[in-house]
Amino acid sequence: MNVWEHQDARQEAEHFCAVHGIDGTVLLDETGGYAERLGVRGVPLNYLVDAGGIVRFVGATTPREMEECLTALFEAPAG
Amino acid sequence: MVSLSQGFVSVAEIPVGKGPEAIVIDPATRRAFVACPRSNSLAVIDVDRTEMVGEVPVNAEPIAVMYDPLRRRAFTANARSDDLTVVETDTLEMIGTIAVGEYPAGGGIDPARRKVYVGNTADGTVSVVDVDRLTVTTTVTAKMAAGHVGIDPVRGRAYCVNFGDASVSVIDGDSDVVIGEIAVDHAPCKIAVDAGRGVAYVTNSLVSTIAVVDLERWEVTDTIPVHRAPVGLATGREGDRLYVANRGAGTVSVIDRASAREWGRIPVGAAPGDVAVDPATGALFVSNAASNSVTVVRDVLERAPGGPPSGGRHPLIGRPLPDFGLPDMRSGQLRTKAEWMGKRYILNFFASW
Repeated sequence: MNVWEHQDARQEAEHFCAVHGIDGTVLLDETGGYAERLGVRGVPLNYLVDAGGIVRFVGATTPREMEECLTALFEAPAG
Repeated sequence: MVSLSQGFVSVAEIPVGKGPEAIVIDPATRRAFVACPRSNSLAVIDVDRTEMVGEVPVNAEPIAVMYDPLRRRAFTANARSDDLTVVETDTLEMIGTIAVGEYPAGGGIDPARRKVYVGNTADGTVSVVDVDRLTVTTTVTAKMAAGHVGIDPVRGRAYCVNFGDASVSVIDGDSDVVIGEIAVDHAPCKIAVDAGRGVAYVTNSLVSTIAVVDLERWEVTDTIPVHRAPVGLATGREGDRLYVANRGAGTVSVIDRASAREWGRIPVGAAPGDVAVDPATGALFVSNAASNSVTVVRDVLERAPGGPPSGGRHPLIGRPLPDFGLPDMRSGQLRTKAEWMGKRYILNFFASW
């Protein structure tokens, strides 16, 4: 989810993804409106969502934190 | 109580020399210079590539560094050898040494008047150096543990922070005479001057506050609580923000000038002692004395905190993710949350800058 890209958002995001080898789905939240609804004030920031569409973790900005959150997410019963 | 620890973008952590203290940026040549007292060197950083591009050996224990943008020279104040080392920053050659007072641990430069002021902490004086002739022209008596010096080009003054005296000495920029003292709180470390608005900010390291000083009346008009042991500070965003390196907490406080309140805290490395702002991009460069590094971050806070706190539990946890309909970067098609129904996924927010 690319946010706060006020100029040439698509081009800037594509360039960034090419440089960093990001090949997943990338959505453009140019104005940051959606980020604001989620209370995002800084990036990078991750929201981990379970199979029921429920937010389980917020944060996970370091690799260690991410690993812990992912382990917990996948150990939980699906949905 | 500020619980916010977001509102920033982490850019880089740059390894430099040992025990980095003062940091200055030259926006024209896109370089930052960092005094590294534990390795007796001056680290040179490319601020766009965010990497160290050179390290120049200087004399013993450089704590402060001043930069002359006209001649492109850096002056390190070397506390243990009681002198300044002059470095040509284009060639990274050491071109001179200037003897000053005892334990010079702070300073400042007035590029217009062509003077460097050096606070000699052990003898409570300020050496005034002619930056073209590279000589000491006079020595001014300040107070106990004189150190950092801020410059006020509007009023033609230099302000020397006296760590051991809870005061700031006001020096006339033309005559180099002390014309008064401003009382501040205990253990003041550094001063940031906003000459246009006629205010200065002083870090009171012992009581963890920032004194707001009226430069016309020479008095403290407000006190802003920050995190533990604030040391270095810098203004940013046309003076609308003040950034304070909290040495005892490993954070940088983001202060909104208009409300004179701490809006956020940015985690940086260990024992951050100084912060500089790149005027071209607004990025903060923070020297971490105990991590031997410089942290680069951007402040993206737009308003006072009041939304979800990052401390405790995020209010969205345990609740459905709000629906979205946003364009796909590659296809341009609108994508909605419904497409991911029944799947576990990570929503990562990023920015390309």
